[in-house]
This record gives sequence, structure tokens and C-alpha cells, in this order.
Amino acid sequence: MNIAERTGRRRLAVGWEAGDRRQVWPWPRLTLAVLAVAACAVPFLLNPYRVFQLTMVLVYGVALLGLNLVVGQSGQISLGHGAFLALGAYVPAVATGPLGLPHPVALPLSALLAFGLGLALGLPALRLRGVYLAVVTLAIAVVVPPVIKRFGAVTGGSMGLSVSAPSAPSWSGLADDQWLYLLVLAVAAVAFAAVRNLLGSRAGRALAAIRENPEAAEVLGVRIAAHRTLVFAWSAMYAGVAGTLYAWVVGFVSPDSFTVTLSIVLLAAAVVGGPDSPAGPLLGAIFMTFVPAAAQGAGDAVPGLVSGLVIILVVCAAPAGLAGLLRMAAGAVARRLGRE
Amino acid sequence: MTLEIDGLTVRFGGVTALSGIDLTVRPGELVGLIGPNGAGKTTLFDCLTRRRVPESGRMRFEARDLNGLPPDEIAGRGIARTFQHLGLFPRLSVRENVMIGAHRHGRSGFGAAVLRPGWMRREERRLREIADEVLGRMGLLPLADHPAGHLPHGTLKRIEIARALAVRPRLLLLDEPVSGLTQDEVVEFARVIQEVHAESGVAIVVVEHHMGFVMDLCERVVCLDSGEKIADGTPGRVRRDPAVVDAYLGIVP
Repeated sequence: MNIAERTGRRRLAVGWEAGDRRQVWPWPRLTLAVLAVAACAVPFLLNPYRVFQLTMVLVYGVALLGLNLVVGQSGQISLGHGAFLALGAYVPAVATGPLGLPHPVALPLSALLAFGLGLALGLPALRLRGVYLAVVTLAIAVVVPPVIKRFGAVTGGSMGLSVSAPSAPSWSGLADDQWLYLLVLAVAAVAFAAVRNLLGSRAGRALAAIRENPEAAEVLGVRIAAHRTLVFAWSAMYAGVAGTLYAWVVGFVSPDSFTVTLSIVLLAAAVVGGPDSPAGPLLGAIFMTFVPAAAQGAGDAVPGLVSGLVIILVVCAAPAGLAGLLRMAAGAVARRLGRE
Repeated sequence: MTLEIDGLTVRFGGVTALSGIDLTVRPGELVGLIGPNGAGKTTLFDCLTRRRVPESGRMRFEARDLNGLPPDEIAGRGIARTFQHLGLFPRLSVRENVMIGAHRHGRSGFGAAVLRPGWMRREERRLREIADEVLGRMGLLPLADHPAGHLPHGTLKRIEIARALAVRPRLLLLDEPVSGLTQDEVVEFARVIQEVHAESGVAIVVVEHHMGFVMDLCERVVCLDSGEKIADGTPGRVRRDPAVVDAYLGIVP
């Protein structure tokens, strides 16, 4: 039994080139293919509300992919990703609304802006480490809603702005929500592939080395500050992209959608999903979307209570997150099948 | 000269860890650095790898100043070290550990990692070849895909040397490479280090308390005591030096 099976903890991404051939689950390609087919079939099988929920799962999944770069790969804590999400959400609201730019511009534009903001904030913030970074990013998250309200002429103030989403082209014969789901799915797939490539490369190894033993990494020529700053900027870029998708899916942005709570819930979802696992963001996003929705019926305060309990349970019982549990289960199933 | 140190002084508060140390290492020399605990041996390494900033003194490597260099450029200059208490990346595989040693031979960053152009994939293969070559030489290839955290102590020490060699250094600093090893392993290690030294011609400075190991391996031995150099010469001379016997060895072995 290898270590991943025993503890449910995934080894850090290492790359095919480096020769990592060990695996817990023997049919990764088949599983991925089945998942891909299922994901593409979703908008044609489920009712519009479910499609909307799953679209939100993918949107949060993209944000969590980025947050995992900071939490899982660098071992740092960011409490400010809601701010990058807000930035990304206001880009289509302002750019395609008042400025009249076409829809396809919004996505690269918010990616670029969020990357730039992440870089600018990352430069000073990552000199500060651990709890200091958490406090600085928390400050950013606190500051964003009032700033949005202050510049009401552009942002619509506390009233918010409505956002028009790209509508389905007529040749496709799809409804707008189906089209949007597929668009978000495509972005999420590209985002996922990019993270996989990143972590399986020289830069990914350097990130892992910095997390495992910064002193040794530095002596070997790994530039710690540059890597930490860049990975923070990439992470911010993912959050920005997720913000734009969010605005398209929800169709409305307001400062109250991007309070500190969002940043904290994102961090909690990253930890619950499994911060150093490729499945973690998806599981975290499912948690973020469905647990509050499921608890909604029981009363106003219940969703928060249930989410909090789930977070405590997961952190105590499965430190590697839901992805870790899944990995242990996969190992057990694979072993049983292998024996028979 | 590979390494020239003039008047290196380090203080921690009121304690003087190194006071006015002079040391030169010629190209391809194998120098032993001995002395009681707290003599300043590791502090000297830390200064050379820029983990600690000396109060005064000059350090030159291949006629270029090391003072003021950021720590992450040390490997680029051709200096590698191992750590007294193992500095491996336990959750990465043995090969990955060594590939990070080869980090300075590549240049691909985040953008190339995501887009995977041809030159980046060739570079990854090259880094892997460098790692595998070193692993082969150190007899570690069978363990290449094993996580580096769960292996015997002697093997870990060996991996750390392999990782330092992947830097392809011209100066190798070994901090207590055989501490905690059995007698057989010590003999084996001496042989490995001698082979590496003979093949690559790298200058090596080795800190070690195992006197047999140092005296057999090194061409020259330097003894530090309380931050001062008290002896510098051939193993035979240093072994009988009264100051060294008094401060460190106790009896003439």
C-alpha cells in the first residue's frame, strides 16, 4: 500500500518527466472520459435550476483552483480572494455595459487586471509570510465593498449593476443557460489543464521545494520571492476569471456579493475540498454550492451552522480534505477489485 | 584560487562565532574542517551560502566577490552545499529532489510550464538526464521514484550529496556527511566522495567530527576553535598540533 492510499494525502504534483508513475486509481483516463461526457451532457438532462447550480460549481471551482495554488502549493493563507473575484465580476459589468465593449474582451481583460493587481499586492504582501499575508489579504477583502460603493458613478454603488451574458449563437440551437454552462465548462477545463501543466514542470517543482524546505530550495538557486509573488498573481488571475464568469451566470453584481464572508468561505471550501489535490477545487465548489442550499429549508441561520460543522468535521476527520477521503476510498475500491 | 576568505567575522549578540578567519581553497582541493561544537564551522558555510551576513571580512569565489550576493544566486555561481540536519524535500521523489538540484540548468517559468512549448519539454528531459546521471553514479537509480521522506538515514545523506552534485558545482560544501552512519557506511561514503572528487575535480570542503574519515579523506585539514583558526596543514601535522590536541582531540590518536 503506498502512502497516498494510506493517508489519503496526494503527493505533490511532480510531473511525468520526473518519472512519477505511482497511482492510487488504476483507470484515470477512463474515469476522466466518463466525467467529461457527463459534464457535457448535464445541460441537456437537468432542469434549468440544476444547470445554474452546476454552472456555479464550475465558477467556484475555477476560483478554488487558483486559491489552491496559494494554499496548497505555497502553504500560504489568502483571505482576500473575494476581492479579486469582485474585480473580475465588475469588469464585464462596466466594460460590456457603459463602455460597450464586446463580450469576448471581458474574460482576458479581467484575467489581465486581476493578474496585475495580484502582482502589485503580492510584491509587498509576500515579503510578509504566513499570518501576516493572511492579515494583509483580509484588509483587501474588507476594503473592497466600501470602495465599490464609493465610486457609484462607475459601479452603480450599493444598487449594483446588471450584467448581460454572452447569448447562445443561433446556429447552436442552445438555450442561453445551456450555452453559458458549456462556456464556463470550457474555461474550467482550460484552467484545470493549465494548473496541471504548471505543477508538473520546473516551476511547479520549485514551488513544491519552497513549501517543503525554503532554505534548501534557495541554496539550490530557486528564487523564492519571485515564485511566491508570481503564484499569488496567477491565483488572483484565476479568481478574476471566476469573477467574470460569476457575473455572466448571475447576471447582476453588487458590493454585497463580495463581502469578507465570500473570501472566508472560499478559503474554507479550499481546505474542505483538499488544498493539494486536483479534485479538491471541484469538491470544495460542490460543498460551497450545495451544502448551504440543502440547509436553506431549515431556517435562516442553519446554512451557516451546517457549513461550519462540516468544516470542523472535515478538518478533524480528514485533514487532506474531501479529496483525501475520495483518494482513500478509491484506493480501497481499486485494491478490492484488484484482488478478485 | 577557488575560494579566498579574508578576515571573516560573525557575531551573534555578544558571542563572536567567527573572528577574523582567513582561508583559501585551491581548485580541486579536498579540505577538512574540524573543531569542537560551536567552533563556527557551520556558520562559515552559512556565510558562504549567504544565509548569514558577516560583520566584516571578504569572501571571493573564483576571483569574484560573494559579499552582497542574494542566496539564490549561489548555485548559479557554482557552489553547492549539504546540510548538517538533512535539507531534503521529503514529499518529493528522490529524482525530483535531484532535479531541483539541477534547477539552475533550466530557465522555463510559469508561462512555458502552462503552454509546454518544445524547448521547455526538451529542457525538462535534459534536467531529468542530469538527475539520472548523478543518481546512477551514486547508486540511487532504483530508488528514483521513491518519496525521499521514508528512506534510511544513510540513503538520505547520499541523496543530499546527489542533489548537490546535480548543481554541477565547482565548490562543494559538505556539512557532517557521515554523522549518524555506521562504520561500514562511513568507509563507503569516503570512497564515494573520493570518486566524485577524482571524476569531477570539484573543490570540496567537508565539516566532520569523524576523525578517521577526515584524516583519510582530506589532503588538508583546518581546525577552528571558538571562532578562530588554530591549525591549517596536512592531516599528519594537524593531528599532532598541540593546540588542536588541547582544544579538540584530547589525546593524540
